[in-house]
Amino acid sequence: MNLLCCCCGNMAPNTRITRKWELFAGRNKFYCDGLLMSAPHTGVFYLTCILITGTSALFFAFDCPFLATRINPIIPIVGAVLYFFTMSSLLRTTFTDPGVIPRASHDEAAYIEKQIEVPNSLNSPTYRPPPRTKEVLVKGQTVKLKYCFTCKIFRPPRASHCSLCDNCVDRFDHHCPWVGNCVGKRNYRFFYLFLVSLAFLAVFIFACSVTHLVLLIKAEQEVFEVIKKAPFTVVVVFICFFSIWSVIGLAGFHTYLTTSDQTTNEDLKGSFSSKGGQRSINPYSRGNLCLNCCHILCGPMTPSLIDRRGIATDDYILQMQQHTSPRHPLSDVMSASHVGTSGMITAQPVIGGAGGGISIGGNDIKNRLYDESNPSSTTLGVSNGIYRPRSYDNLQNGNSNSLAHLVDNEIPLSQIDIPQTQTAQMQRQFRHHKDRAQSNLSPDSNNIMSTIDSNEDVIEIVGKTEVVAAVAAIAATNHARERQNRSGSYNNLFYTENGAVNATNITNSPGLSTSVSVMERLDKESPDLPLEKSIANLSISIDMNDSKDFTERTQHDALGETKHTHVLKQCAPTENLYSNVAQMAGNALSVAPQESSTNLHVYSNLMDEQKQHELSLQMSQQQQHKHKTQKNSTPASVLLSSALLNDDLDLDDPVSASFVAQENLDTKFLSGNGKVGDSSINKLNRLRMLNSTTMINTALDLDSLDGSSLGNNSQSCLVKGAPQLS
Amino acid sequence: MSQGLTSLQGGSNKVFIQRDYSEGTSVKFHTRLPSELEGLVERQVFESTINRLNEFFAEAEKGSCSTYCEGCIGCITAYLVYMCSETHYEKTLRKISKFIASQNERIYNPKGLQVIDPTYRGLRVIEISVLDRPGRT
Repeated sequence: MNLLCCCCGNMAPNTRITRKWELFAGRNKFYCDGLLMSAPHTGVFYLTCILITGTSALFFAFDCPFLATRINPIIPIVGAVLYFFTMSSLLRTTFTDPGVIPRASHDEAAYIEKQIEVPNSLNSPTYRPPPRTKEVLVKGQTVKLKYCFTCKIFRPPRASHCSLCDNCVDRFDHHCPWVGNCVGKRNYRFFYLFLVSLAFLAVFIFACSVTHLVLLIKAEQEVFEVIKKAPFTVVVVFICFFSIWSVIGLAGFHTYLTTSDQTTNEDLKGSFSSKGGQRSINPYSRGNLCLNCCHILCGPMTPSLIDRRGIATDDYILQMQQHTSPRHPLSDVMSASHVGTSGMITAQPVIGGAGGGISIGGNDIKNRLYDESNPSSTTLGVSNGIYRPRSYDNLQNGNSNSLAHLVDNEIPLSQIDIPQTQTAQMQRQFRHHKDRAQSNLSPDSNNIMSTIDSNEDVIEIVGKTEVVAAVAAIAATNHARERQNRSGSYNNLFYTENGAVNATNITNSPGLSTSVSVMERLDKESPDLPLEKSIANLSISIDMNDSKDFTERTQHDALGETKHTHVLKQCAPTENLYSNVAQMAGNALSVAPQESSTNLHVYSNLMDEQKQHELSLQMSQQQQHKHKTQKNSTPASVLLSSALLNDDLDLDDPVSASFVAQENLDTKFLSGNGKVGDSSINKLNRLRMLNSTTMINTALDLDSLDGSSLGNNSQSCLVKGAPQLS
Repeated sequence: MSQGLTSLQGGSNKVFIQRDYSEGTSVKFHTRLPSELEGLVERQVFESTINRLNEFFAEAEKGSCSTYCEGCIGCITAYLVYMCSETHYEKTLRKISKFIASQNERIYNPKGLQVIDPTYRGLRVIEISVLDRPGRT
């Protein structure tokens, strides 16, 4: 009291009185200068009102006159009383404070925090969070009190946080959209009364309307005529019939709850049901059905604790400001998830909202870690030094999404001190690490992976490589379709092949920040999946047009794939159906005459690579090894592939153009070595190459059709190929 | 005045007496003297104050005949009666705030302490602030 007066005198400049409801931290709506409050969304409440009022109005308008004259004039009166009673308890339920527990003031939160603090050494790699639950004895029974991150209190027993209203509500029953409010300690009795009276009203109206109809049928003898004569009565009967069951059921359920002094929340959670043999008795029950009922329905009514109409003093504003500042709708989710993960890191004051949630690139982490934009945490830290900012303040004020939070909290403290300049390197290291991890995997399961590997390098070498394949592929569609028929049953194989190719394409668009994350996802998921994602990426990069880069890229692709084909060849030259996609496709294509040389010729670039190996021996040692094994393959294959380059492709398509460009490059290279001059035409090779492009086409077609279904399609294609892969 | 100032300086000079749930969810506070207040106020004085407060709250929440009657009347009138009359609980709360004011005046303010009515803190805690100016102790 004294305090209040004292501070009243203090607030000089502000002549207008600010009431506390205006500063209320929850999401509730207030009416009549804080006299009434309800949940933030009251749409369904109005629906309830309309349903009840409408049905009653129809009843009063069309049934009551008839019934009052034919049966008893008391019927409308009873109906009116019931309706009045129902509506008044409904309105009371909706506009009463359900028992919101006010949030802790700044000082109180700090005090609690200090009390529950666990000693943490500064050197420990992870921050050990203080316990988030407190156990108390309630009438001899242990009850866990959970800490509410939003309200910064240990929730009293039976209280729960309503995520919709963003408040802790005492004796929380449930949030009822139909009445447009939480149902808690203070309005449960209204709610219960509403249910019971509504059940009575519904039964009453239903009975009366049916009586009306029956009487009419008796008089008219014809059902159809009756419906024509009293259509609204029929409507009323229908509405009542369908609502009556749920209302009566709910009323019965709540009667049970009331007599046993439970809440819906506790009942759903099974707090007091027998679990694991030991039955925990409801410690709040008075042990007597009537007493429970009496106390809940007629017991003393606790006043509203939030003092909505109270005048907000300067002190109050100061104490509560920390809470009302930037709150995010997701804060509940965040706090919830944090309770679960318990991976709470303290020294990150707040999370930069803009950061992409998923990408784990070093930059993001760093930025977030050093983002000092949390006013409350800094004020908090005054008494406790830099290390002080506590996790739940961060949670509270963080305005990024929950994913970002999760990611952030996974970071051990040891990473925090990495200087800013190292971030790029960090990223790179990260990638390299990834690559290594991939290459460590068994070779035969990793066709796609390895292509990604090679392309990782491409990213670093080429820099702004752009993907053209998509555009080219579209242009080539017509040609491809013609040929596709011939390849027939091997489509799946091609799909898988393209999965690999597309996957590599993705990684070649380094300008897109997503590429890294996509790649990571690719890595994590089995090789079955990349097509889906790669297609998505292809669509992104469609408008990029740079054939040179494309050729470079394809070369690198080829590098990766040839490596694999080599490896596989060593293992099982011709029968490695199960080991490698590229290999498989090659085999599949070998329907045609050149059976011996098939392994290498799925892609024209593959062949080029092979040529490079065969002819120049300038590749890495590994490849040289393989190269020896490859010598078994007929030179014809080499020739065939080279033949591709020169003659056949229609230069009007960008695709073929790009391919040709690439192949010309290769031929130059080869001719520089002076070994390849042969340009014998091989239709089969052309066909294969086009087929490979066709795959891109088909992928794109799918893409244009439907983004989501496409993923599935492509995936199914891949799945077909996958068993053979593995 | 000093209250407004002290609150700026962090929570170190405020003590919060938490609720005691050992007897259910009815309002009751722990009577143990917090360590921060040791030396500032005698244990007996403090405990008697808190016990008296607890009694008040118990009285407010007790299901006596009159309160049930009140509830029943409210129930019958669709709780419209509450709009016109003050409930028993509210009356008791009024008593409580009077009691706290008198206790502050007689005991705590001279010792440099200020007990804040738990109603202002949502009946969650009793806040006792340690005022900066030294008391007569």
